[in-house]
Amino acid sequence: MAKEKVVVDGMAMQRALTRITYEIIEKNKGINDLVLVGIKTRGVYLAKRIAKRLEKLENAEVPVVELDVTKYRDDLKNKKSNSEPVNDSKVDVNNKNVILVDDVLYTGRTVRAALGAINEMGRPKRIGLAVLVDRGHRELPIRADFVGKNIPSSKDEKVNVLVSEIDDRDSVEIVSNK
Amino acid sequence: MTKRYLILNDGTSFVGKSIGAESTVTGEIVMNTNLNGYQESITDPIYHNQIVAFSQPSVGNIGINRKNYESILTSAKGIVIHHSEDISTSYLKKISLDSFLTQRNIPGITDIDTRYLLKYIMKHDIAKASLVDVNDEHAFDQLNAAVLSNQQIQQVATPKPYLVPGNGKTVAVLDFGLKEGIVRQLAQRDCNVIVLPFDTSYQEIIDLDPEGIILSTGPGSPHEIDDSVLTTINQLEHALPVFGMGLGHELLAMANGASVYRMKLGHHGSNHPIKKIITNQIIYANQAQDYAVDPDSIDTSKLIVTYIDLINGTVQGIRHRDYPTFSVQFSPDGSSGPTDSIDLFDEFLESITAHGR
Amino acid sequence: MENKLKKILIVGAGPSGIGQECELDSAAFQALHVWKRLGIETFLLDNNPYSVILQEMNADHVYIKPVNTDNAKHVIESEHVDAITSVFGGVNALKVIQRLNKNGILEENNVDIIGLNKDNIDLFNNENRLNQRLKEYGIPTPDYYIVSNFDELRNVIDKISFPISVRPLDPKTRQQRSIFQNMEQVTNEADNIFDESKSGKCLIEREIVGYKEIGTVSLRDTMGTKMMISSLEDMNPVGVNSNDSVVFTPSQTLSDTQIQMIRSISFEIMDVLGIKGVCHVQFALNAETDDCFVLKVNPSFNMSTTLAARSTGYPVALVTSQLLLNYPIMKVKLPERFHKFTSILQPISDHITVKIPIWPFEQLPEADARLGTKTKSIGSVIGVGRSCEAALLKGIRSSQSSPKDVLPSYSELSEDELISQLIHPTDIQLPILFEALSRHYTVEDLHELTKIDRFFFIVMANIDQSRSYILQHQNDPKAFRLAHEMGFGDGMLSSIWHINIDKLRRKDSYKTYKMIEPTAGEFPEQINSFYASYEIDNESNQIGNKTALVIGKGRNKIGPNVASDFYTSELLIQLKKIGFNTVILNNNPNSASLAPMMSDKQYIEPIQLGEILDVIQTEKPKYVFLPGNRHFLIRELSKYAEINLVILPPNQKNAVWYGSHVDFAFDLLVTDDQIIPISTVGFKSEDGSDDINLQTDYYVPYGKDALNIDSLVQKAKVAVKNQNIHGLVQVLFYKDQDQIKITGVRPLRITETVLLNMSTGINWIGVLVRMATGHLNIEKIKKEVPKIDSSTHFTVMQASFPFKQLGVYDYKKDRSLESGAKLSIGYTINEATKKLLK
Repeated sequence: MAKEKVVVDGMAMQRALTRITYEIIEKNKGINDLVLVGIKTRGVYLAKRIAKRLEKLENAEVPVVELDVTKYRDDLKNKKSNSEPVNDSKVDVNNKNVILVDDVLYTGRTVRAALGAINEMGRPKRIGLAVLVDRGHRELPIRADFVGKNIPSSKDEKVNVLVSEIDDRDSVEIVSNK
Repeated sequence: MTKRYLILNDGTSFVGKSIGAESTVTGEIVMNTNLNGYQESITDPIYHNQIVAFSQPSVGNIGINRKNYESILTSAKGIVIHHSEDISTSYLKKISLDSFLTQRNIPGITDIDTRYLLKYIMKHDIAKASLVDVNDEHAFDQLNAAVLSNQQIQQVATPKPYLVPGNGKTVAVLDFGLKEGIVRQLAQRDCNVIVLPFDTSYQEIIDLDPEGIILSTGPGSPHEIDDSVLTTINQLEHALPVFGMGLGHELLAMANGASVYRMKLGHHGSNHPIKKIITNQIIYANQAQDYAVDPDSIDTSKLIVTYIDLINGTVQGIRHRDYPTFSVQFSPDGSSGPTDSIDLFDEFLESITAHGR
Repeated sequence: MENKLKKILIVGAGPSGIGQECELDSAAFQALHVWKRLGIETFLLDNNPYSVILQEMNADHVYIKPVNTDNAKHVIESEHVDAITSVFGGVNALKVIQRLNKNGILEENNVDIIGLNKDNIDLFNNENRLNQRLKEYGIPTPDYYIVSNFDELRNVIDKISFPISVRPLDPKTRQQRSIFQNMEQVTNEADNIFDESKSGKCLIEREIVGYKEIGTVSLRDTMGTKMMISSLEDMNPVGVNSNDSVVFTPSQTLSDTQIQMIRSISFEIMDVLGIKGVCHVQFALNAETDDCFVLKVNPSFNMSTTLAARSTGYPVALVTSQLLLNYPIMKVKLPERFHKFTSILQPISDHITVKIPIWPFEQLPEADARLGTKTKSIGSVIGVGRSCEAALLKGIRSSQSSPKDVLPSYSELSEDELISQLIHPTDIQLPILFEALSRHYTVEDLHELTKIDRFFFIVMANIDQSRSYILQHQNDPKAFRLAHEMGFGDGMLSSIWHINIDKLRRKDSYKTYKMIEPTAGEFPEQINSFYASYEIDNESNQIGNKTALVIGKGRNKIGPNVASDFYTSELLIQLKKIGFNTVILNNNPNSASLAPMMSDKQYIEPIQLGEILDVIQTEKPKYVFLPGNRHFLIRELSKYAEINLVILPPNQKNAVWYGSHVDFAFDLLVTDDQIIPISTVGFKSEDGSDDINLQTDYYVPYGKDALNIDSLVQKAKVAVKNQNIHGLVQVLFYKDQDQIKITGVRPLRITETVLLNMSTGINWIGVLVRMATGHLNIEKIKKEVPKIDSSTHFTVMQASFPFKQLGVYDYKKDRSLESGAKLSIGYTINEATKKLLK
């Protein structure tokens, strides 16, 4: 029997995104030369939310790139065979401060794939990483610069991030299969 | 109940009946438009030395309650109300408002058209008022001659540090006239709270090794605080997450170069919509505000305005661009008042976590 | 994000009845106003004839049909509406939309539900599932546990604290539940309880006797901004339905912490369920322990939302109708008379409002008048004051039927009867409590017996003590002032002092009107709603030179009262149309006549002589419109030469009767010099009786070809000429073998005036208003009146009765006992009558 447990509710999720937004301003010294790269699917919605928050605070737009990393993953067997373009936006990442945005940081393989994809797009000044949830169990030397919440989890568990844009609510849930 | 008068510095007088202590007092008069929470307001150090007039039509309905003190020793200087219910001890095993006021030597006046008073104060330039038993020229002379103390903060802030132990994060609170709601919120989050006199030096604070700093609410003017405190705040924000509220917010702004002015008309209530700029949402919170941060004085390369009062346009929140340091003008702790922004305490603690990483 | 909707269907509420009067119509009327300005076409499915919105809408947008799924589907398909809403239609409308959603009709036709989230809509009306959902989010709901052995019982007790209530499932005998205060009692009794159950199981709940019942009314917009309009505190603890309890607003005995707790929970509920617009949540709360849980969630207009609107002055319906269209509250636009910040300031009040329910037991004495969890009231009135005392007493005065404003006395009641009434409250609960106070029951005694918070008895005791003071100080200025401050009326003083009411009128009035507005004086709003206080600053001045004062109906009972309320609203609309400043005096919070856009100025006060004279003194109206059933007021106000009194709706005492049987009737318009025939009317009773009082169905036209219209018109004209009845007049006929005899002549009744409006398409209330104020163009009316009985369709109006809801079956369906009516239109009488059901 799979059991769900809400570990971050809607309010806390809003708060985490708000804090990440402020931390981005702190570390980046403003939003100049900033590009947010959301990793599909939920990372894109989170990136858009952060961009919207930045816009409200700074009265300037921050570009958001949608990135599909499926083809760059080395550990997934069922990769989509058709190699569609990973990034169809016209955003120039050269010499920019790029921040990758994803929902969950786990083994680090998604992030590595994303780094590969960004390298194909150009040469950013710097690449940072923002995740809503860091659940540990890294298999690669990757570390997030901005973390919404650290959720230590066991490998048997699944961590699901729900966003109200496509799910019916905002929340982070742990599904245990035991 | 004997006759009593409320006299204003422009020569206007209102006749009413006495409630509470018999003494004569003079002080700034403020209108509090909260619908509830008279006990919290009367005991909130923010109203220290002020005469508080209440809009709520019936005051005293639930007596004085063990759970609703915002401080034990300090209180408003006098109160003005429209109508009070005498809930006496024999019914509720609690103290009635009348006996509480008498015990604490706070005079009050009831049967006042407080709705008219509010409209009058908003229209005219009223700074001072007295509660007196004889309404004559002498009383007005005294009122006009009275010099109000500017030592409110020193009078209410703790002179000695103390601990409110907990098992969680260690938070140092600089006490400028702290309302208990702040400590209550930290205690609920299991913080280990160290309350410090507001003039504690940077080194003394850092030696205690706190993980975050709170600049508390308090009465009176931020200009009465010594510049050395601003320097301390400045040093603290370089080192640790800092969260300021009320007077603490005004001081944080000043420490970062902004200026604070006295509002022509303060606001003491929780009905104003406050826009949370980052999400474009409206929240409501208790505001007890006579001073405000001048938005034009804010160095936007240093501070971001985060909240704004949609009615009078005042700055209600700021955040430092470079440090996890933020503050709000209103009281997020919700005692009294709405708890819409109570999660600012969570945000603060999460900042501490993120900062420590 | 904002509105893209062009066509919206309002699913109406159907006939008024127990627990529902005009509040939904009042809200819908305001939404109609707003949506029209925004260029939205509104459609209505409803068959309640006493509905202002139905009268004021384009006839081709109104579907006069019973509110059910089939009819709603029909409107959706024929009008291609974009959205549908149940927030103006109560429970029945919600059920209709739930079914339309479930069977895919909404999706098929691309129809949005506004205000509610499609995924959550099935949770409403389903207490278990709703509670389950709320519980998932940590929102407290009533907990119950079923256990089958002592071990499980003990585990449950660890979770919930004492006292607990335990009862056997499927009991062998009719054993009541037991209440336990501690573990020892449980140990002693538990075995017996398991034994009592056929299945060996028992159900455990937290015991909530004495918990307060508190309501909140809140708004939420599409951005997730939330605002609490008001808290509402029931005087009675949990156990008496809120509709049947005296309610104080804002709440009077809660601490700020408790208020903020229920406010936050209400907000969370709206977030979790995705409710946009208005939401009423009902809580049970233990004031000692702060323990609280949710009893009810209602995401639509009802009597509580309307009470919150009336008592704060916040325009709930005008704002909600825009929130429903996804406007953020910051972008809501209000009519000019409001302050630009009104919609975003969270309401605060510097006055107190007390709601008193109105029950139909005077007319239905057989019904069980004991108050419980099921609603029995038919409506309510409010008193507004600067103190609880004044608000309560004004409310009580408005709730009573005494024409002379004297409160009933129960001094004859025996001690046993009194105690029994205290323990099992009925409709006379308030007078009984005052009687007990006058018999020197202490506050503590009363609290013990009733579980009502002591605070309310302190308020009542203050009133009682003032009464003693007043009694001892006859006609003393100080006593006068005290009396007025406490909410006493002149009629009461006249009776206490045995002085004629004329002699009481004081020359120097010290009454000050205060505005009912939601900022406690912070913003000088132009919300023209007022109540009286006795202070130093008066805020109400004469509104203009050409003013009409309309005296409202006040409390609604059963009988044609909802119709009468509709009539009051129409008087205001029609008077406005011919250029009057309109002022209404009323105290029924649910009345559409008190909606912000319905009149230029509202006074919420008891409808009694002193109050009326005071309003007249301020407003100096050209005309005063007074309902014909207020005989005492008619007599007293007629004494003043300067008051131009118009009796509308008309006084039925002017009717002339020759018999009591009726077959059909003729409606005419009678002016000083002309008699204009309008239409025939047919009657039907349930059991075929031709007794005039038992005719439950009216229809227009009578439409029997056999009638010789010309000769009838002649007969009717002669009958009318002999009488001094003007305006709309009905001549009733009775067929005695071949002879057509006249049964009587009467002013056209309220209900039938509404029917005549519907069947002729002429607003006859407007005609009467013009006639009374010298604005009538009689030739124009003559041209507009359709040829007698030329209509191709029949309009039927059928009374509905509250018998079933109140559990009484021995009453005949007398129209004086109706609680509402249904309307229907068809090509034959039979077709129209059949449609009443489908």
